[in-house]
Amino acid sequence: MTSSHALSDALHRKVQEAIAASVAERRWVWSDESFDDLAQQLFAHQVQGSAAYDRYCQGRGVLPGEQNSWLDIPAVPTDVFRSIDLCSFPTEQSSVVFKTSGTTSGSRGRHFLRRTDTYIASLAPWMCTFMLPSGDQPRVVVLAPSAAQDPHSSLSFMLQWAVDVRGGAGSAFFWDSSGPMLAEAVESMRAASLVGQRVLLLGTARALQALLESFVSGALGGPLCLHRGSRAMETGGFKGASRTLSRELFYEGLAKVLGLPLEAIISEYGMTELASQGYQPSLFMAVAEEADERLSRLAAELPEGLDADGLARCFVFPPWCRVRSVDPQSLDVLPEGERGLLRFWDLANVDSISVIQTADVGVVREGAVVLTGRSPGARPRGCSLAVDELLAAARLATHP
Amino acid sequence: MTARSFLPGIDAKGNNVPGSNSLPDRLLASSTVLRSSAPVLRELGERGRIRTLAGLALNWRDPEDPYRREALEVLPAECGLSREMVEHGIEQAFSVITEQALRYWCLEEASGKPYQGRADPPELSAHIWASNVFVAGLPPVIASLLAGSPALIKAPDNMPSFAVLLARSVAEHAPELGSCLGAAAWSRGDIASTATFMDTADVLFAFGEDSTLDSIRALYFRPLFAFGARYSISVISAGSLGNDENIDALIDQMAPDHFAWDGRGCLTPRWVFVEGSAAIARMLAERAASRLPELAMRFPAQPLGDEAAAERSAWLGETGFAGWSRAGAGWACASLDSATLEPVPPHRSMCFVPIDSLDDLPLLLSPLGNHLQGLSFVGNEHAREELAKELQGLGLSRVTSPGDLQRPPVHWSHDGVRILAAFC
Repeated sequence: MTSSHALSDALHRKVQEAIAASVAERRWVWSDESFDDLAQQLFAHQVQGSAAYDRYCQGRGVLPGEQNSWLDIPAVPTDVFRSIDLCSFPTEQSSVVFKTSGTTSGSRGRHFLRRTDTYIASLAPWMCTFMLPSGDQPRVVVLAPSAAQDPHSSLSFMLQWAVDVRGGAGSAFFWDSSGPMLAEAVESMRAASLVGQRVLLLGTARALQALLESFVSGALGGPLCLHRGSRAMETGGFKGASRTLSRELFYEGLAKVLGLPLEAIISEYGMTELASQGYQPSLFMAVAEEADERLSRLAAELPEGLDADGLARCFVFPPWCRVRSVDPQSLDVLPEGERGLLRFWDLANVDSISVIQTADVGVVREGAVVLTGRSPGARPRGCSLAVDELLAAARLATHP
Repeated sequence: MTARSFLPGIDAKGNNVPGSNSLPDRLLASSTVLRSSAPVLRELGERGRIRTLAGLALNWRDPEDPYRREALEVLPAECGLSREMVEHGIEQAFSVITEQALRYWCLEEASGKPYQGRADPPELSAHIWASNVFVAGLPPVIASLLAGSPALIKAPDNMPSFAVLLARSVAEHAPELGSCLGAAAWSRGDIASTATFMDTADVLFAFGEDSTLDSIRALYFRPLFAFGARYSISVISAGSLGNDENIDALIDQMAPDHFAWDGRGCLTPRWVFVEGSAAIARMLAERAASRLPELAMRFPAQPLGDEAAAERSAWLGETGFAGWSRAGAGWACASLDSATLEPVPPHRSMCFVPIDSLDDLPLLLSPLGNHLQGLSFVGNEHAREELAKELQGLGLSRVTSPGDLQRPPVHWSHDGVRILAAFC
């Protein structure tokens, strides 16, 4: 084992211990001091381990030990993961490589993990908190590829964990090469209802929309009446999933065809470059009184934090993953409550990059985020040439 | 709110329009009026037209001019530009329309030449304007009036005001030109209006995206002069940099070219190619980063849209790994370690790219086809001429010193088109 591995292992241990302690004590807010301490150690490790990141930080005039706080650690935009391998170990030592979905340019962002235990240590308690708050073991029905079907999908990795570790009898992935196996999934959910088993339906927004449309068209028979305590999680982003439905109508439709109350339809926010995820808290709020009061207040304070039915539709991130909005022009961190591009400090990213600059837009308050999406409308271009489009076309012509 | 049309011969409500009073009917009726004013325009003579057009330009430069004032009120929101930028654009566009410049233009392109082999120029020219850089279509309109041809402008649906204000100002400030200029805005989807508009004209000048221009070419069989989207570059040749003070002065000179029109113009340099090492490019970027915060304030930026902000953030990250980058409110700059066009710089940025030799540029720029518009050059005259010759094949039509790129004279052959000669 190299010394950098020893340092990495020590950091993995520290992060896991901090997460475990936080979960055990139900401590949902970390002090700035403890967050900063860990963030600085990770920053030093990541700069030391990645020559590219080291040079990038030097270019920004920020190096370990020289910055004032975790807020000053240079963020790396998600797009960079498409062109540069950012990790503090040789990539051939990766135990898993998560890749983003393809883009028009054809390149995929890559997130290299040497160890997956910290990734699991981060995803597990937060998923359990928000999707399994009563500690049950439901039938997990997944409308997404399994980890075997898509070994480079961080989503599949997470869903596989849910099936393997928290899934009750009958849990399975309902996905084949042509996409979601809707009839089989519905059959499995009907079977669970017959025996009084709770269901946790997990799926991408696109797959759940296909499910909804198939119910509406009558292809799947009558609506389900899932056992009380069942729930559904939508992930992968609603954007682009539906051209006809608003998110609210989509949720209402899903609730109707599944026979679930609206608060049991939860959205998850995650991305390949992060090890931690955010969840909408409505299910959690229903069972955790101490969280209900704080989250209700937060959701009410956030613009569009509550939907028309008064349900909290903000995303809540774990205390080891902080999020702030930054000014689109200056990229400076904004005060809470101001709309901007979202930036994450994810301490569960031990060997890659902790500070991730996303292209998503939202408002943040005390770790709760409302995604506002990118404003629609044509981009002003004037008479200047769309150089990016021409270069992309030229690239495609060279490497079709 | 500025009206969406000013069509000579048509009253405000269109009550005097034969037919249905639809926009196509109004365009048709007004085109007859415009055509009938051609003799008035011609009787004025070249000198008279020059004098009148130069006087019109002076009016637009007068801070008290009501049309200028109205333009400053409405155009910032309409065009997504700051008031300062709109003012700069108006000043720039009209300051070059002087008697001297118009005389020179006539001498160079028009005088003594027959129009289309006939005694008279076209009776009516049509002009399709594009969005954002609201004065881009002005020179062909001035050329038309200068040549003695009335003109009708189709303004962008979402940016009607400048064209309409211009037409109104001509009617008020230059009545001796007759009813020679009309303008209206409508959407691309209004095919009936576009068809009528194009049918009425003897010659068409069109600005727009290449795809739009292709559609127009397929429909219009009379003389057509199309101006598509283009890009420009800056080049600093080896050995042309002086001491730190000179470098700061150079950055100060160059910056307005990058900031004008918020970087959306075809004359906006997208890259600053530096003949020399990556270290020199980096040094220039660092100097630029120290100068740009102040310079950017002279041309205040409009807030970035979400999409543009995300792309800019990604560019800063990518260039940060591929070289060096910095940004602030309304500006960004970077240097790259190698000669590459990607990642593509955002608007209002200076991206310094090292090249081994000026000879490398034609090949490096070749993926962009023949869309090169302008070159701002720092270096000796010989090298400048050599490079300009090399880049002719890529479409180059304007070569200047730093800071002059975005200040084309009225007689500039935009896209290589001799605009006034087009009426001959």
